[in-house]
Amino acid sequence: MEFLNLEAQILDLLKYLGIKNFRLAKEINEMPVDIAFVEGTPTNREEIIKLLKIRKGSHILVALGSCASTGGVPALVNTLRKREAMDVYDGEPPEIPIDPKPLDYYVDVDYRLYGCPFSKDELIELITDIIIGKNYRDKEYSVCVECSLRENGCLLEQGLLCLGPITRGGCNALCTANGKPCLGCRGPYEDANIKAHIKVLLDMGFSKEEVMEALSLFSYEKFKEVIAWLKEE
Amino acid sequence: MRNPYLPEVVPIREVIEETCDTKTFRIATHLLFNPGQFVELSVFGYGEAPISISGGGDGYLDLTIRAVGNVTNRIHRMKAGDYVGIRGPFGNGWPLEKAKGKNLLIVAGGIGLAPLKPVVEYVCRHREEFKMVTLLYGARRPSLMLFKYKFREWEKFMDLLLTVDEPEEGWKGHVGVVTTLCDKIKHRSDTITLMCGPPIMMKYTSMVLIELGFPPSEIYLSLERNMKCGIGICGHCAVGGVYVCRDGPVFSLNKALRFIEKPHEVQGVLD
Amino acid sequence: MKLVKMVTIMMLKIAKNRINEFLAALKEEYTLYAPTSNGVTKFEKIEDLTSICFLPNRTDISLKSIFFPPKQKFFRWKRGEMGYELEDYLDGEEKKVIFGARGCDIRSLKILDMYMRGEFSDPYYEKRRKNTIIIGISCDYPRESCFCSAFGGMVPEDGYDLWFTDIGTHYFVDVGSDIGKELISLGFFQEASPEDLRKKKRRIEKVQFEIERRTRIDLCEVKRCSQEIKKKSQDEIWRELGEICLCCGKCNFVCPTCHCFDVRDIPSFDGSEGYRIRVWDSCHLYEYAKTSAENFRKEKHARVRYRVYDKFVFPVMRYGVYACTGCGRCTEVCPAGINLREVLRRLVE
Repeated sequence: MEFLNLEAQILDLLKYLGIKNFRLAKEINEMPVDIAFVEGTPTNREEIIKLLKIRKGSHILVALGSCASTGGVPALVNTLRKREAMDVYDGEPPEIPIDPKPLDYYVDVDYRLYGCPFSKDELIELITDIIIGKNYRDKEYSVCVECSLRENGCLLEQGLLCLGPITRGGCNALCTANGKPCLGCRGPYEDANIKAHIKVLLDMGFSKEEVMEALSLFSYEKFKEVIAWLKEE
Repeated sequence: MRNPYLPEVVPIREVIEETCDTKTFRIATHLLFNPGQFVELSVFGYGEAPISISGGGDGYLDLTIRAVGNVTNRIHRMKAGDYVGIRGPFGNGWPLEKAKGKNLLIVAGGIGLAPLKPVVEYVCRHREEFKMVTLLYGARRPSLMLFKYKFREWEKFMDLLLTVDEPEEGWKGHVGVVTTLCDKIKHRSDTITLMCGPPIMMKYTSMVLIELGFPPSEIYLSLERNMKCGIGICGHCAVGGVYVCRDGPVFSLNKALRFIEKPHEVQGVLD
Repeated sequence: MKLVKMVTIMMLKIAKNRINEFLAALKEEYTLYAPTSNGVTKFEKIEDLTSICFLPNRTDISLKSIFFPPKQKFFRWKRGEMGYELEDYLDGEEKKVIFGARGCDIRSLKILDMYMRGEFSDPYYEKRRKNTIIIGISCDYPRESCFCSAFGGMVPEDGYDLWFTDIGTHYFVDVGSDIGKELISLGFFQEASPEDLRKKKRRIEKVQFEIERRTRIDLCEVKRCSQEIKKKSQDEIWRELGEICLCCGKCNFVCPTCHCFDVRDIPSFDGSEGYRIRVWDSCHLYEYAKTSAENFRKEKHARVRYRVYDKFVFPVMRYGVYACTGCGRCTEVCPAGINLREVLRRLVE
């Protein structure tokens, strides 16, 4: 939906791209396409087949948003035992559930737009790069970088559980600039010193459970090993 | 005052295919340069990259570029008549004056021959200024060797020692890394060495040359760093208290070894 | 001219209740920047004089961004008949007065000048610097993290136009430049007595003493830290710091003397036009020293070490000064709790 929020730029953008398939905004949908943006992640077998078909019918596949790129909130279910999860549906889930994983668990993903919601600026950057043939690269720095560029005060200093230092930048520190601590919706970046940050949070007085909960909210799939390590500690 | 961040917009005069991933771009400009200097090449929309100058003449500069990043990939898709931006030239260049009247050893690995080509050409033009001259060039495969079409001419003026890591059909020359050729160099004393190549090659070649008795103060290396501004302000190329863009890119091995933060190119040498 | 000369010989002060009048007069001709508080204290453009914060010590965010903004447009390009047309964004015309700069701020500008107005001059910085008048003020007491007395002290020798020191009902005024001389002829200033001068000296001594007491750092030790760091490799210290450092880059961004930047192109959808910008960069980030061939500072400990070297060793070798003002901002913002003062202490031990 964030696509439609592009508003000012969308008409300009349509000069270069046509939208062939958009279930929420269009009646007639076609395949194959040049670029497929996939939001969300499969939670049952049918959806996996659908994903594979999309991959087959597109040149470039973009994982759009948290769920698609890191597993996101749906992956939170992986922290529970299957039976507990089934209880939500009174033991009768609508379809046979599978563990939600990031899209790249099933198919090759060309680009990822992290975040919940993903960043409009990054979407424009990606589309521009695809049109002019430039290589779009994931941001390899933390939310703190962009937060500092906006000259905000530090929320960790105020005693809030902020995941900024280990979360991939690119969101222009939207939450932290508005006084809300970073929930880590964009997942960790490659170089993130996760264990050191966990130590910082524990030293600040947060309990192991609180830290584990914060880490698993958006990126359980990415933090699995660290969470297991934290449990052992 | 001229804004040092504004590039000069210049056309590409000619594109010369070198290997499967390397091309030489002849840029129409009147900039003068010393061998070993580099320019900041802009491809508008894609960014800027530091590129060493691989030759030049009346009204042009040659830039030999391997397609590895955004800027370089893009320029590979450009043709004669397209426009790019350049700033420069930057850097100190090779100490050619010091080499005059002495033996000269030129060691290059892969794309590292590009910044050394102006030196080789200078030697061809002014052969009498030097005593013995050797060019030692190693590439991964014969087909990836640069400027092969020049070798016959160069051979007339200097000892040309070539090697490849992986031979291909038709290759009759030496196989092995550059260091395996070092004992074929006919001159030891009174030699200035100019070297450019991948960090690992420079490191091992330095070690072997030192063992063979070449003094570290007479071995010069050209370092490659992430140079953004070219004028020592942006900080990216700083290593061991010097700016590679401004104080380098050419340093004597002796100096590089004394940097407090040792450059990767010489880590482990003399340890 | 004769009058101006006489005035400089006299000692001057300004009544505290006339400060606002003085600032209002300045504001008519210049854009005024002064400390404000909105969660964090920083220098901002002042529209309303009541929004100025009279702080007892330095601001959270330094005044670096006034001269060297986090994002700066270099130029705009547009594809045209003859290749590309470039339009320079060289701005900084605005005539500014900065009120409330501290000793560390002024020292940081001197250090930035050294980097950015050297052999090659940065025109964007240069222009802003030229068009800015600086009115400094002595601190009332130091912050927890301050250690400016190790690097130049609370009252700079020069680099300001006017320097104020609180002496009770008045500010004692030092004049540091010809522009400062012009400013005092505005008529808000009066002659100060020898007693006022004594008060000023006592005041400054008191704060200096307080800083030194709090920092518990032997100043002579710090002065030779460059030599000490060079002598030993101290790998264990770096490895230890590399393990706890989050490499978030915050210390670089708040540092008033960090001046690294990245250059990026922002093209339009079809790439026919766009602009080139520079954005602050940090030597703690993974891609800082990465080239196509290799990443030269892949390990975190190498990046932590580099920052300390780049403040306390390299500038000493190159320019003969430490590139640290002792403002303590990096210590204050570090989420991992790395205390630069402690690090220095360990290094010289």
